[in-house]
Amino acid sequence: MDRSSEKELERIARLSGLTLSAEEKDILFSDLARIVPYMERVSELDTSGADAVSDEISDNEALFREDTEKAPSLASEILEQAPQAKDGMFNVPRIV
Amino acid sequence: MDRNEILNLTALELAQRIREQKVTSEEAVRAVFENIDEHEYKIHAYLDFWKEESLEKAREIDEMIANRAFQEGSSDLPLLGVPVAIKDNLLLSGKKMTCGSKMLQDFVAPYSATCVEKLEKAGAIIIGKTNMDEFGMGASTEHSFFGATLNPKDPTRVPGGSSGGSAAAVAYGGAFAALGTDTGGSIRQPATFCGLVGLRPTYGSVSRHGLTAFASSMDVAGPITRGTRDAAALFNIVIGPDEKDQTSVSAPKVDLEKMESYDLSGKRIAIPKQLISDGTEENREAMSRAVEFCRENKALVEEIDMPILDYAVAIYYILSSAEASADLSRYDGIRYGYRASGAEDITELYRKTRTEGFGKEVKRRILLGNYVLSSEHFNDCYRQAERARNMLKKAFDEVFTKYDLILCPTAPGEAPLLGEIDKDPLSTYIADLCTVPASLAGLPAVSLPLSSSEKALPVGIQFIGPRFGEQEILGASRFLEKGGQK
Repeated sequence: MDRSSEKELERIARLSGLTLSAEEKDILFSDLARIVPYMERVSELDTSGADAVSDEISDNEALFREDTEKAPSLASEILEQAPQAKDGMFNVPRIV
Repeated sequence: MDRNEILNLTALELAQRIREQKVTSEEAVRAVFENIDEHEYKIHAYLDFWKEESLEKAREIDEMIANRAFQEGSSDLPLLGVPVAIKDNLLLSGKKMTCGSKMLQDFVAPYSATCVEKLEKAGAIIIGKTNMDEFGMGASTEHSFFGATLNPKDPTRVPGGSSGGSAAAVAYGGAFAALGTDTGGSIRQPATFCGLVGLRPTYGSVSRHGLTAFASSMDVAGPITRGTRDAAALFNIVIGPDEKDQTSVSAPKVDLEKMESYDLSGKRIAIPKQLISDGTEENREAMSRAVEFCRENKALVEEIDMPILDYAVAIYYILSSAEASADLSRYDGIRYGYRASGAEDITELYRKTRTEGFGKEVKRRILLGNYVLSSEHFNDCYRQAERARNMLKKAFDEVFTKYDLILCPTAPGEAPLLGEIDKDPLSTYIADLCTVPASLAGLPAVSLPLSSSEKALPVGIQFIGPRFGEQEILGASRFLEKGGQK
Protein backbone atom coordinates (compact mmCIF):
# COMPACT_ATOMS: atom_id res chain seq x y z
CA MET A 1 0.00 0.00 0.00
CA ASP A 2 1.65 3.24 -1.07
CA ARG A 3 0.63 6.88 -0.79
CA SER A 4 -0.99 6.79 -4.21
CA SER A 5 -3.44 4.21 -2.93
CA GLU A 6 -5.09 6.52 -0.43
CA LYS A 7 -8.19 6.16 -2.55
CA GLU A 8 -7.97 2.43 -1.96
CA LEU A 9 -8.13 2.97 1.80
CA GLU A 10 -11.29 4.98 1.28
CA ARG A 11 -12.75 2.22 -0.84
CA ILE A 12 -11.86 -0.47 1.73
CA ALA A 13 -13.38 1.69 4.47
CA ARG A 14 -16.57 2.00 2.45
CA LEU A 15 -16.66 -1.78 1.92
CA SER A 16 -16.10 -2.22 5.68
CA GLY A 17 -19.07 -0.01 6.50
CA LEU A 18 -16.85 2.57 8.19
CA THR A 19 -16.48 6.31 7.75
CA LEU A 20 -13.02 7.61 8.62
CA SER A 21 -12.36 11.12 9.86
CA ALA A 22 -9.44 13.02 8.28
CA GLU A 23 -7.38 12.37 11.42
CA GLU A 24 -8.25 8.64 11.49
CA LYS A 25 -7.39 8.39 7.81
CA ASP A 26 -3.95 9.86 8.46
CA ILE A 27 -3.17 7.55 11.36
CA LEU A 28 -4.57 4.41 9.77
CA PHE A 29 -2.89 5.18 6.51
CA SER A 30 0.54 5.50 8.05
CA ASP A 31 -0.05 2.35 10.17
CA LEU A 32 -1.25 0.30 7.23
CA ALA A 33 1.54 1.61 5.01
CA ARG A 34 3.93 -0.22 7.36
CA ILE A 35 1.76 -3.23 8.23
CA VAL A 36 0.64 -4.20 4.72
CA PRO A 37 4.14 -4.63 3.21
CA TYR A 38 5.06 -6.76 6.23
CA MET A 39 2.01 -9.00 5.61
CA GLU A 40 2.67 -9.13 1.89
CA ARG A 41 5.97 -10.90 2.57
CA VAL A 42 3.96 -14.13 2.45
CA SER A 43 3.95 -13.79 -1.34
CA GLU A 44 7.71 -14.63 -1.27
CA LEU A 45 6.89 -18.15 -0.07
CA ASP A 46 6.78 -21.05 -2.48
CA THR A 47 3.43 -22.59 -1.60
CA SER A 48 2.99 -24.51 -4.83
CA GLY A 49 2.73 -27.89 -3.08
CA ALA A 50 0.38 -26.74 -0.33
CA ASP A 51 -3.40 -26.69 -0.21
CA ALA A 52 -5.39 -23.81 1.18
CA VAL A 53 -7.91 -24.67 3.90
CA SER A 54 -10.74 -23.66 1.58
CA ASP A 55 -9.45 -26.16 -1.06
CA GLU A 56 -9.75 -28.94 1.48
CA ILE A 57 -13.25 -27.89 2.43
CA SER A 58 -14.46 -27.90 -1.15
CA ASP A 59 -12.89 -31.34 -1.67
CA ASN A 60 -14.75 -32.81 1.26
CA GLU A 61 -18.28 -34.08 1.12
CA ALA A 62 -20.84 -31.96 2.90
CA LEU A 63 -21.58 -33.09 6.46
CA PHE A 64 -25.17 -33.77 7.37
CA ARG A 65 -26.92 -34.11 10.70
CA GLU A 66 -30.21 -35.68 11.61
CA ASP A 67 -33.20 -33.39 11.10
CA THR A 68 -34.53 -33.62 14.62
CA GLU A 69 -36.86 -31.40 16.58
CA LYS A 70 -35.10 -29.04 18.98
CA ALA A 71 -36.13 -27.22 22.15
CA PRO A 72 -37.96 -23.91 21.62
CA SER A 73 -35.80 -21.06 20.34
CA LEU A 74 -34.80 -18.01 22.30
CA ALA A 75 -36.58 -15.70 19.85
CA SER A 76 -38.22 -13.47 22.46
CA GLU A 77 -35.06 -13.17 24.61
CA ILE A 78 -33.06 -12.34 21.51
CA LEU A 79 -35.57 -9.74 20.34
CA GLU A 80 -35.28 -8.10 23.76
CA GLN A 81 -31.69 -7.26 22.85
CA ALA A 82 -32.65 -5.52 19.63
CA PRO A 83 -32.15 -1.74 19.55
CA GLN A 84 -35.72 -1.50 18.19
CA ALA A 85 -38.26 -4.27 17.82
CA LYS A 86 -41.97 -4.26 17.07
CA ASP A 87 -44.57 -7.04 16.83
CA GLY A 88 -41.95 -9.77 17.19
CA MET A 89 -39.75 -8.30 14.44
CA PHE A 90 -36.64 -6.15 14.18
CA ASN A 91 -37.46 -2.54 13.42
CA VAL A 92 -35.26 -0.98 10.71
CA PRO A 93 -35.27 2.27 8.74
CA ARG A 94 -37.15 2.28 5.46
CA ILE A 95 -35.29 0.27 2.81
CA VAL A 96 -37.30 0.92 -0.37
CA MET B 1 -8.44 -20.07 58.28
CA ASP B 2 -7.72 -16.36 58.03
CA ARG B 3 -8.13 -14.35 54.88
CA ASN B 4 -4.49 -14.58 53.80
CA GLU B 5 -4.37 -18.32 54.33
CA ILE B 6 -7.49 -18.70 52.20
CA LEU B 7 -6.17 -16.44 49.46
CA ASN B 8 -2.90 -18.36 49.26
CA LEU B 9 -4.69 -21.56 48.28
CA THR B 10 -4.98 -22.76 44.71
CA ALA B 11 -8.46 -23.35 43.31
CA LEU B 12 -8.18 -27.13 43.84
CA GLU B 13 -6.84 -26.73 47.38
CA LEU B 14 -9.70 -24.38 48.21
CA ALA B 15 -12.29 -26.79 46.80
CA GLN B 16 -10.84 -29.57 48.95
CA ARG B 17 -10.86 -27.43 52.12
CA ILE B 18 -14.45 -26.36 51.43
CA ARG B 19 -15.48 -29.97 51.01
CA GLU B 20 -13.68 -30.91 54.23
CA GLN B 21 -15.46 -28.00 55.94
CA LYS B 22 -12.15 -26.45 56.99
CA VAL B 23 -13.26 -23.27 55.30
CA THR B 24 -16.65 -22.25 53.95
CA SER B 25 -17.35 -21.13 50.43
CA GLU B 26 -18.85 -17.97 51.94
CA GLU B 27 -15.53 -17.18 53.66
CA ALA B 28 -13.71 -17.68 50.36
CA VAL B 29 -16.12 -15.41 48.47
CA ARG B 30 -15.85 -12.77 51.20
CA ALA B 31 -12.04 -12.94 51.10
CA VAL B 32 -12.06 -12.44 47.34
CA PHE B 33 -14.45 -9.47 47.55
CA GLU B 34 -12.39 -7.86 50.32
CA ASN B 35 -9.48 -8.04 47.91
CA ILE B 36 -11.61 -6.62 45.12
CA ASP B 37 -12.59 -3.70 47.40
CA GLU B 38 -8.94 -3.10 48.15
CA HIS B 39 -7.42 -3.38 44.66
CA GLU B 40 -10.07 -2.99 42.03
CA TYR B 41 -10.22 0.83 42.02
CA LYS B 42 -6.60 0.99 40.92
CA ILE B 43 -6.21 -2.23 38.87
CA HIS B 44 -9.59 -2.33 37.07
CA ALA B 45 -9.56 -6.03 36.28
CA TYR B 46 -13.35 -6.37 36.29
CA LEU B 47 -16.05 -4.87 34.12
CA ASP B 48 -18.80 -6.29 36.31
CA PHE B 49 -19.13 -8.39 39.48
CA TRP B 50 -21.98 -9.40 41.78
CA LYS B 51 -21.12 -9.77 45.45
CA GLU B 52 -24.50 -10.48 47.06
CA GLU B 53 -25.51 -13.04 44.46
CA SER B 54 -22.12 -14.79 44.82
CA LEU B 55 -22.44 -14.87 48.62
CA GLU B 56 -25.95 -16.27 48.29
CA LYS B 57 -24.68 -19.10 46.06
CA ALA B 58 -21.80 -19.75 48.45
CA ARG B 59 -24.18 -20.07 51.42
CA GLU B 60 -26.34 -22.54 49.47
CA ILE B 61 -23.26 -24.64 48.72
CA ASP B 62 -22.08 -24.49 52.35
CA GLU B 63 -25.49 -25.61 53.51
CA MET B 64 -25.53 -28.52 51.08
CA ILE B 65 -22.07 -29.59 52.25
CA ALA B 66 -23.15 -29.34 55.90
CA ASN B 67 -26.19 -31.50 55.09
CA ARG B 68 -23.95 -34.00 53.31
CA ALA B 69 -25.92 -33.44 50.13
CA PHE B 70 -22.73 -34.12 48.18
CA GLN B 71 -21.05 -37.47 48.09
CA GLU B 72 -17.76 -37.64 50.00
CA GLY B 73 -14.77 -37.88 47.70
CA SER B 74 -16.91 -37.42 44.62
CA SER B 75 -15.03 -35.91 41.72
CA ASP B 76 -18.16 -34.57 40.04
CA LEU B 77 -17.80 -31.10 41.48
CA PRO B 78 -14.09 -30.36 41.39
CA LEU B 79 -14.54 -26.61 41.91
CA LEU B 80 -17.37 -26.73 44.43
CA GLY B 81 -17.69 -23.32 46.08
CA VAL B 82 -14.65 -21.78 44.36
CA PRO B 83 -14.98 -18.12 43.19
CA VAL B 84 -13.98 -17.86 39.54
CA ALA B 85 -13.97 -15.01 36.98
CA ILE B 86 -14.66 -15.14 33.24
CA LYS B 87 -13.55 -12.90 30.41
CA ASP B 88 -16.20 -10.54 29.13
CA ASN B 89 -16.43 -12.14 25.68
CA LEU B 90 -18.03 -15.25 27.18
CA LEU B 91 -21.80 -15.33 27.64
CA LEU B 92 -23.32 -15.82 31.08
CA SER B 93 -27.10 -15.88 30.92
CA GLY B 94 -28.73 -12.74 32.29
CA LYS B 95 -25.46 -10.82 32.69
CA LYS B 96 -24.03 -8.10 30.51
CA MET B 97 -21.41 -9.09 27.96
CA THR B 98 -19.56 -6.15 26.41
CA CYS B 99 -16.40 -7.61 24.81
CA GLY B 100 -14.78 -4.40 26.02
CA SER B 101 -16.65 -2.53 23.29
CA LYS B 102 -19.06 0.38 23.09
CA MET B 103 -20.83 -1.74 20.47
CA LEU B 104 -22.06 -4.16 23.15
CA GLN B 105 -22.06 -1.97 26.26
CA ASP B 106 -25.74 -2.69 27.04
CA PHE B 107 -25.93 -6.23 25.69
CA VAL B 108 -27.36 -8.82 28.09
CA ALA B 109 -26.63 -12.48 27.36
CA PRO B 110 -29.75 -14.51 26.53
CA TYR B 111 -27.92 -17.80 27.25
CA SER B 112 -24.62 -19.06 28.65
CA ALA B 113 -21.53 -20.22 26.77
CA THR B 114 -21.06 -23.99 26.93
CA CYS B 115 -17.70 -23.67 28.71
CA VAL B 116 -19.25 -21.31 31.28
CA GLU B 117 -22.15 -23.70 31.88
CA LYS B 118 -19.62 -26.48 32.43
CA LEU B 119 -17.74 -24.39 35.00
CA GLU B 120 -20.98 -23.76 36.89
CA LYS B 121 -21.87 -27.45 36.74
CA ALA B 122 -18.46 -28.20 38.27
CA GLY B 123 -19.52 -26.16 41.29
CA ALA B 124 -17.62 -22.94 40.54
CA ILE B 125 -19.20 -19.63 41.57
CA ILE B 126 -18.79 -17.14 38.75
CA ILE B 127 -18.35 -13.82 40.50
CA GLY B 128 -17.71 -11.41 37.63
CA LYS B 129 -16.67 -10.57 34.09
CA THR B 130 -13.17 -9.34 33.35
CA ASN B 131 -11.81 -6.54 31.20
CA MET B 132 -10.26 -7.18 27.79
CA ASP B 133 -9.02 -5.52 24.63
CA GLU B 134 -12.03 -4.75 22.47
CA PHE B 135 -13.23 -8.02 20.87
CA GLY B 136 -9.91 -9.61 21.86
CA MET B 137 -7.85 -7.43 19.55
CA GLY B 138 -4.80 -6.26 21.43
CA ALA B 139 -2.01 -7.39 23.68
CA SER B 140 -2.29 -4.96 26.60
CA THR B 141 -5.97 -4.55 27.64
CA GLU B 142 -5.48 -0.86 26.87
CA HIS B 143 -7.84 -1.20 23.90
CA SER B 144 -10.91 -1.62 26.12
CA PHE B 145 -13.67 0.96 25.65
CA PHE B 146 -14.01 0.94 29.46
CA GLY B 147 -10.39 1.88 30.22
CA ALA B 148 -7.17 -0.04 30.73
CA THR B 149 -6.38 -2.73 33.32
CA LEU B 150 -3.08 -2.32 35.18
CA ASN B 151 -0.63 -5.06 36.08
CA PRO B 152 -0.92 -5.96 39.80
CA LYS B 153 2.80 -6.93 39.84
CA ASP B 154 3.70 -3.38 38.76
CA PRO B 155 0.86 -0.90 38.12
CA THR B 156 3.00 1.20 35.77
CA ARG B 157 2.84 -1.72 33.36
CA VAL B 158 0.19 -3.44 31.27
CA PRO B 159 -1.12 -6.86 32.35
CA GLY B 160 -0.90 -8.10 28.76
CA GLY B 161 -3.89 -8.97 26.66
CA SER B 162 -6.35 -9.50 25.45
CA SER B 163 -7.36 -11.50 28.59
CA GLY B 164 -5.58 -8.93 30.79
CA GLY B 165 -8.53 -8.54 33.17
CA SER B 166 -8.69 -12.29 33.85
CA ALA B 167 -4.95 -12.43 34.52
CA ALA B 168 -4.94 -9.32 36.73
CA ALA B 169 -7.93 -10.56 38.77
CA VAL B 170 -6.26 -13.90 39.54
CA ALA B 171 -2.90 -12.20 40.19
CA TYR B 172 -4.22 -9.84 42.89
CA GLY B 173 -6.44 -12.46 44.51
CA GLY B 174 -9.69 -11.19 43.03
CA ALA B 175 -10.53 -14.74 41.89
CA PHE B 176 -9.02 -18.19 42.40
CA ALA B 177 -8.93 -18.89 38.67
CA ALA B 178 -10.32 -17.40 35.49
CA LEU B 179 -11.29 -18.28 31.98
CA GLY B 180 -9.68 -16.31 29.19
CA THR B 181 -9.75 -16.79 25.45
CA ASP B 182 -6.79 -17.14 23.13
CA THR B 183 -6.77 -16.34 19.42
CA GLY B 184 -3.11 -15.41 18.91
CA GLY B 185 -1.79 -15.58 22.47
CA SER B 186 -4.43 -13.80 24.56
CA ILE B 187 -4.31 -16.36 27.40
CA ARG B 188 -0.60 -17.17 27.43
CA GLN B 189 0.88 -13.67 27.19
CA PRO B 190 -1.17 -11.99 29.99
CA ALA B 191 -0.74 -15.06 32.22
CA THR B 192 3.00 -14.69 31.81
CA PHE B 193 3.03 -10.94 32.47
CA CYS B 194 1.03 -11.45 35.66
CA GLY B 195 3.09 -14.41 36.92
CA LEU B 196 0.46 -17.09 36.26
CA VAL B 197 -0.05 -20.27 34.27
CA GLY B 198 -2.04 -19.94 31.03
CA LEU B 199 -3.24 -22.83 28.89
CA ARG B 200 -4.34 -22.56 25.28
CA PRO B 201 -6.13 -25.89 24.70
CA THR B 202 -6.04 -27.78 21.39
CA TYR B 203 -8.38 -26.05 18.92
CA GLY B 204 -11.74 -27.80 18.98
CA SER B 205 -11.36 -29.37 22.42
CA VAL B 206 -13.40 -26.55 24.05
CA SER B 207 -16.73 -25.55 22.50
CA ARG B 208 -16.83 -22.01 21.09
CA HIS B 209 -20.60 -21.77 21.60
CA GLY B 210 -21.14 -18.52 23.49
CA LEU B 211 -17.60 -17.27 22.90
CA THR B 212 -17.89 -14.07 20.88
CA ALA B 213 -16.06 -14.65 17.61
CA PHE B 214 -12.93 -12.71 16.67
CA ALA B 215 -11.20 -15.21 14.33
CA SER B 216 -13.25 -18.40 14.38
CA SER B 217 -10.55 -20.76 13.10
CA MET B 218 -8.29 -19.89 16.03
CA ASP B 219 -10.50 -18.74 18.96
CA VAL B 220 -10.38 -21.03 21.99
CA ALA B 221 -11.27 -20.58 25.66
CA GLY B 222 -8.91 -21.79 28.40
CA PRO B 223 -7.75 -21.29 31.97
CA ILE B 224 -5.54 -18.69 33.65
CA THR B 225 -4.54 -20.05 37.04
CA ARG B 226 -2.00 -19.90 39.87
CA GLY B 227 -0.53 -23.25 38.99
CA THR B 228 -0.45 -26.12 36.53
CA ARG B 229 -2.74 -28.40 38.57
CA ASP B 230 -5.51 -25.80 38.51
CA ALA B 231 -5.00 -25.31 34.76
CA ALA B 232 -5.37 -29.06 34.21
CA ALA B 233 -8.48 -29.20 36.42
CA LEU B 234 -10.18 -26.34 34.55
CA PHE B 235 -9.19 -27.86 31.21
CA ASN B 236 -10.82 -31.16 32.23
CA ILE B 237 -14.00 -29.28 33.15
CA VAL B 238 -14.45 -27.17 30.01
CA ILE B 239 -13.52 -29.67 27.27
CA GLY B 240 -15.89 -31.86 25.31
CA PRO B 241 -17.83 -32.02 22.05
CA ASP B 242 -20.88 -29.79 21.74
CA GLU B 243 -23.57 -30.01 19.10
CA LYS B 244 -23.72 -26.20 19.12
CA ASP B 245 -20.14 -25.93 17.82
CA GLN B 246 -19.43 -28.07 14.80
CA THR B 247 -15.66 -27.68 15.21
CA SER B 248 -15.75 -29.13 18.73
CA VAL B 249 -14.42 -32.63 19.22
CA SER B 250 -13.86 -35.13 21.98
CA ALA B 251 -10.49 -34.59 23.69
CA PRO B 252 -8.77 -36.75 26.29
CA LYS B 253 -8.77 -35.49 29.87
CA VAL B 254 -5.53 -34.84 31.70
CA ASP B 255 -4.80 -37.43 34.38
CA LEU B 256 -3.64 -35.35 37.36
CA GLU B 257 -1.90 -38.26 39.06
CA LYS B 258 0.06 -39.06 35.93
CA MET B 259 0.86 -35.37 35.63
CA GLU B 260 2.40 -35.46 39.13
CA SER B 261 4.65 -38.39 38.27
CA TYR B 262 5.75 -36.93 34.91
CA ASP B 263 9.49 -37.07 34.40
CA LEU B 264 11.48 -35.14 31.80
CA SER B 265 14.10 -37.87 31.69
CA GLY B 266 14.46 -39.17 28.14
CA LYS B 267 12.08 -36.57 26.69
CA ARG B 268 13.06 -34.98 23.40
CA ILE B 269 12.59 -31.22 23.37
CA ALA B 270 12.94 -28.96 20.31
CA ILE B 271 13.66 -25.24 20.39
CA PRO B 272 12.91 -23.55 17.06
CA LYS B 273 15.74 -21.09 16.51
CA GLN B 274 13.36 -18.63 14.83
CA LEU B 275 11.60 -18.13 18.20
CA ILE B 276 14.66 -17.29 20.27
CA SER B 277 16.50 -14.80 18.08
CA ASP B 278 14.88 -11.70 19.62
CA GLY B 279 14.12 -10.95 23.21
CA THR B 280 15.47 -9.21 26.27
CA GLU B 281 18.32 -10.39 28.43
CA GLU B 282 15.88 -11.51 31.16
CA ASN B 283 14.12 -13.60 28.58
CA ARG B 284 17.25 -15.23 27.27
CA GLU B 285 18.33 -15.89 30.83
CA ALA B 286 14.97 -17.52 31.66
CA MET B 287 15.17 -19.67 28.56
CA SER B 288 18.71 -20.82 29.30
CA ARG B 289 17.73 -21.68 32.87
CA ALA B 290 14.82 -23.73 31.54
CA VAL B 291 17.07 -25.50 29.04
CA GLU B 292 19.68 -26.20 31.71
CA PHE B 293 16.99 -27.57 34.00
CA CYS B 294 15.67 -29.88 31.26
CA ARG B 295 19.16 -31.14 30.50
CA GLU B 296 19.99 -31.69 34.19
CA ASN B 297 16.88 -33.82 34.31
CA LYS B 298 18.13 -35.90 31.41
CA ALA B 299 15.98 -34.48 28.62
CA LEU B 300 17.46 -34.15 25.17
CA VAL B 301 17.21 -30.48 24.14
CA GLU B 302 18.03 -29.50 20.57
CA GLU B 303 17.78 -26.33 18.54
CA ILE B 304 15.88 -26.86 15.28
CA ASP B 305 15.31 -24.82 12.14
CA MET B 306 11.70 -24.02 11.12
CA PRO B 307 12.07 -21.38 8.38
CA ILE B 308 8.30 -21.06 7.91
CA LEU B 309 8.11 -19.46 11.38
CA ASP B 310 9.69 -16.31 9.92
CA TYR B 311 6.33 -15.80 8.23
CA ALA B 312 4.09 -16.79 11.17
CA VAL B 313 3.18 -13.24 12.24
CA ALA B 314 2.34 -12.20 8.68
CA ILE B 315 0.22 -15.32 8.14
CA TYR B 316 -1.53 -14.80 11.46
CA TYR B 317 -2.40 -11.14 10.88
CA ILE B 318 -3.66 -11.79 7.35
CA LEU B 319 -5.91 -14.67 8.41
CA SER B 320 -7.08 -13.34 11.78
CA SER B 321 -7.89 -9.90 10.31
CA ALA B 322 -9.72 -11.47 7.38
CA GLU B 323 -11.77 -13.60 9.75
CA ALA B 324 -12.36 -10.62 12.06
CA SER B 325 -13.69 -8.51 9.19
CA ALA B 326 -16.22 -11.26 8.47
CA ASP B 327 -16.98 -12.19 12.10
CA LEU B 328 -17.59 -8.55 13.02
CA SER B 329 -19.80 -7.79 10.03
CA ARG B 330 -22.73 -8.86 12.23
CA TYR B 331 -22.51 -5.59 14.18
CA ASP B 332 -24.80 -3.44 12.09
CA GLY B 333 -27.16 -1.87 14.63
CA ILE B 334 -30.11 -4.03 13.58
CA ARG B 335 -30.31 -7.16 15.72
CA TYR B 336 -28.41 -6.32 18.89
CA GLY B 337 -25.86 -3.97 20.33
CA TYR B 338 -25.36 -0.29 19.69
CA ARG B 339 -27.47 1.55 17.10
CA ALA B 340 -26.45 5.06 15.99
CA SER B 341 -29.17 7.67 15.94
CA GLY B 342 -30.03 10.08 13.16
CA ALA B 343 -29.46 7.78 10.17
CA GLU B 344 -31.68 8.51 7.18
CA ASP B 345 -31.45 5.15 5.47
CA ILE B 346 -30.24 1.63 6.17
CA THR B 347 -26.76 2.03 4.63
CA GLU B 348 -26.13 5.13 6.68
CA LEU B 349 -27.39 3.30 9.76
CA TYR B 350 -24.85 0.50 9.25
CA ARG B 351 -22.02 2.91 8.62
CA LYS B 352 -22.79 5.31 11.49
CA THR B 353 -23.31 2.42 13.93
CA ARG B 354 -20.01 0.77 13.06
CA THR B 355 -18.08 4.05 12.90
CA GLU B 356 -19.34 5.13 16.33
CA GLY B 357 -19.39 1.66 17.93
CA PHE B 358 -15.93 0.27 17.13
CA GLY B 359 -12.62 1.50 18.57
CA LYS B 360 -9.39 2.27 16.75
CA GLU B 361 -7.71 -1.16 16.87
CA VAL B 362 -10.87 -2.98 15.76
CA LYS B 363 -11.22 -0.61 12.80
CA ARG B 364 -7.58 -1.19 11.89
CA ARG B 365 -8.08 -4.97 11.84
CA ILE B 366 -11.34 -4.77 9.86
CA LEU B 367 -9.67 -2.58 7.25
CA LEU B 368 -6.68 -4.89 7.07
CA GLY B 369 -9.01 -7.88 6.77
CA ASN B 370 -11.07 -6.39 3.98
CA TYR B 371 -7.87 -5.31 2.23
CA VAL B 372 -6.50 -8.87 2.10
CA LEU B 373 -9.91 -10.22 1.07
CA SER B 374 -10.48 -7.67 -1.70
CA SER B 375 -10.33 -9.17 -5.21
CA GLU B 376 -6.97 -7.52 -6.06
CA HIS B 377 -5.19 -9.04 -3.05
CA PHE B 378 -7.18 -12.21 -2.42
CA ASN B 379 -4.81 -14.58 -4.20
CA ASP B 380 -1.51 -12.96 -3.21
CA CYS B 381 -2.44 -12.39 0.41
CA TYR B 382 -5.34 -14.39 1.73
CA ARG B 383 -5.04 -17.60 -0.28
CA GLN B 384 -1.28 -17.51 -0.03
CA ALA B 385 -1.52 -17.17 3.76
CA GLU B 386 -3.97 -20.07 3.91
CA ARG B 387 -1.54 -22.28 2.04
CA ALA B 388 1.33 -21.08 4.19
CA ARG B 389 -0.72 -21.93 7.27
CA ASN B 390 -1.00 -25.51 6.06
CA MET B 391 2.75 -25.60 5.44
CA LEU B 392 3.27 -24.40 9.00
CA LYS B 393 0.93 -27.11 10.34
CA LYS B 394 2.84 -29.75 8.42
CA ALA B 395 6.16 -28.40 9.66
CA PHE B 396 4.91 -28.86 13.25
CA ASP B 397 3.63 -32.38 12.47
CA GLU B 398 7.08 -33.22 11.19
CA VAL B 399 8.75 -31.86 14.34
CA PHE B 400 6.45 -33.95 16.55
CA THR B 401 7.50 -37.15 14.79
CA LYS B 402 10.94 -36.60 16.30
CA TYR B 403 10.27 -34.62 19.47
CA ASP B 404 7.84 -34.79 22.41
CA LEU B 405 7.71 -31.07 23.14
CA ILE B 406 8.62 -27.66 21.79
CA LEU B 407 10.05 -25.15 24.23
CA CYS B 408 10.15 -21.40 23.53
CA PRO B 409 9.60 -18.06 25.26
CA THR B 410 6.02 -16.72 25.56
CA ALA B 411 6.81 -13.07 24.83
CA PRO B 412 9.96 -11.15 23.90
CA GLY B 413 10.33 -9.75 27.42
CA GLU B 414 8.56 -8.61 30.56
CA ALA B 415 5.29 -6.64 30.59
CA PRO B 416 5.65 -3.31 28.70
CA LEU B 417 4.97 0.05 30.35
CA LEU B 418 1.49 1.53 29.95
CA GLY B 419 1.13 3.47 26.71
CA GLU B 420 4.23 1.92 25.18
CA ILE B 421 2.44 -0.60 22.99
CA ASP B 422 0.14 1.79 21.17
CA LYS B 423 2.99 3.79 19.70
CA ASP B 424 3.86 1.23 17.08
CA PRO B 425 1.21 -1.31 16.05
CA LEU B 426 3.52 -3.26 13.73
CA SER B 427 6.10 -3.90 16.47
CA THR B 428 3.27 -5.00 18.76
CA TYR B 429 2.10 -7.49 16.15
CA ILE B 430 5.66 -8.78 15.71
CA ALA B 431 5.90 -9.30 19.49
CA ASP B 432 3.29 -12.08 19.05
CA LEU B 433 5.89 -14.20 17.22
CA CYS B 434 6.13 -16.84 19.95
CA THR B 435 2.39 -17.27 20.55
CA VAL B 436 0.86 -17.22 17.04
CA PRO B 437 2.47 -20.44 15.69
CA ALA B 438 0.51 -22.71 18.07
CA SER B 439 -2.65 -20.72 17.26
CA LEU B 440 -2.23 -21.17 13.52
CA ALA B 441 -1.53 -24.89 13.87
CA GLY B 442 -4.33 -25.48 16.41
CA LEU B 443 -1.84 -26.89 18.93
CA PRO B 444 -2.04 -26.83 22.72
CA ALA B 445 0.43 -24.59 24.51
CA VAL B 446 0.99 -23.77 28.16
CA SER B 447 2.92 -20.77 29.43
CA LEU B 448 4.45 -20.65 32.85
CA PRO B 449 6.21 -17.78 34.58
CA LEU B 450 9.84 -17.71 35.54
CA SER B 451 11.55 -14.90 37.36
CA SER B 452 15.09 -14.53 38.49
CA SER B 453 14.31 -12.94 41.86
CA GLU B 454 11.40 -11.93 44.07
CA LYS B 455 11.54 -8.37 42.77
CA ALA B 456 11.95 -9.12 39.09
CA LEU B 457 8.91 -9.11 36.82
CA PRO B 458 7.97 -12.53 35.53
CA VAL B 459 8.94 -13.63 32.04
CA GLY B 460 7.40 -16.69 30.53
CA ILE B 461 8.35 -19.88 28.83
CA GLN B 462 6.01 -22.01 26.83
CA PHE B 463 5.63 -25.70 26.08
CA ILE B 464 3.87 -26.52 22.81
CA GLY B 465 2.65 -30.06 22.15
CA PRO B 466 1.00 -32.02 19.35
CA ARG B 467 -2.80 -31.87 19.00
CA PHE B 468 -4.41 -33.24 22.20
CA GLY B 469 -0.99 -33.26 23.85
CA GLU B 470 -2.22 -31.50 26.99
CA GLN B 471 -1.10 -34.38 29.23
CA GLU B 472 2.44 -34.01 27.91
CA ILE B 473 2.74 -30.21 28.06
CA LEU B 474 1.05 -29.91 31.45
CA GLY B 475 3.21 -32.74 32.79
CA ALA B 476 6.35 -30.91 31.68
CA SER B 477 5.01 -27.65 33.09
CA ARG B 478 4.23 -29.28 36.45
CA PHE B 479 7.67 -30.89 36.53
CA LEU B 480 9.31 -27.51 36.04
CA GLU B 481 6.98 -25.87 38.55
CA LYS B 482 7.96 -28.39 41.22
CA GLY B 483 11.63 -27.88 40.39
CA GLY B 484 12.07 -31.47 39.28
CA GLN B 485 11.09 -34.88 40.50
CA LYS B 486 10.59 -35.03 44.26
